[in-house]
Amino acid sequence: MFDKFDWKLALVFLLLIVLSAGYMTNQELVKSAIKSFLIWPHLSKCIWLAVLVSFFIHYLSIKNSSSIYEGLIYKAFGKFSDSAFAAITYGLALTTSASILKGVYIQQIVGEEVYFNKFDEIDIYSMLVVCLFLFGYSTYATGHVVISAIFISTSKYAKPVE
Amino acid sequence: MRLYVLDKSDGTKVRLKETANTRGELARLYGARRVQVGDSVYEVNDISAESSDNAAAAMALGGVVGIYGGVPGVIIGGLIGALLGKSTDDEDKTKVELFNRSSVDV
Repeated sequence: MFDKFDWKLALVFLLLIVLSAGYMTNQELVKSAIKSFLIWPHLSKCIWLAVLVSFFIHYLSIKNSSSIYEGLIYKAFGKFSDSAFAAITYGLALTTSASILKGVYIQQIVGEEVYFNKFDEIDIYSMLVVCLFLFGYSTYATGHVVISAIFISTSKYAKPVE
Repeated sequence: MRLYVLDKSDGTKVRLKETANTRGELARLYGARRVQVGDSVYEVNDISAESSDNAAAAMALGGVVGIYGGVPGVIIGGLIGALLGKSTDDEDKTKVELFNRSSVDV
């Protein structure tokens, strides 16, 4: 019975309960921390730096690999272009979603300033959902390439024997 | 999906940098049916695949990013993350089964 029990998922579930409880008991503190993060003037520069470093590490890890990769950009233009295109795509997605999130969060959740004058409530909340998904997905993809690069660096090459 | 061989001396997993969909594709990639990993020589048929685990990390990230939307955001973000991670894991398991079922004629 315990062999099939997913301990990692259970731990994450527990973490999310703790996070929700922490949010409910310290709402103003959490909102203020999120606002400080979003209005930080160096946020975009830091995101670009993190994304470029991550994809450069990824490129170095696959540069000499003879493995078969999938993907249109890789097949047409090679590994460097594939990594560069991914870095630009995720960098733009992260910085744009962070900027829109700043406006939506300060307007709808904190309620201090109006960023989107002529938008209906439904449009603003749709933007919040879409930008959160984009931000989360891009963060996951960027982190994933770093973890893959670390994994590849600790793996071994197999040499053919005749 | 990650490829590995079991070390002949102590049985530990030695992970490989290369990836392929089947053992036949891997043999074509190497241009040989036998490969040297460290000091030992293995048949391509000795190489196995294992799946990576994405669901927990995706669920955690979804929940943390969801904090922007308060407690409902944490719940919905966690659920979406878990579903996407599970879907990736299932695809990966299918690839692992395909690789492990394949073989190269010796």
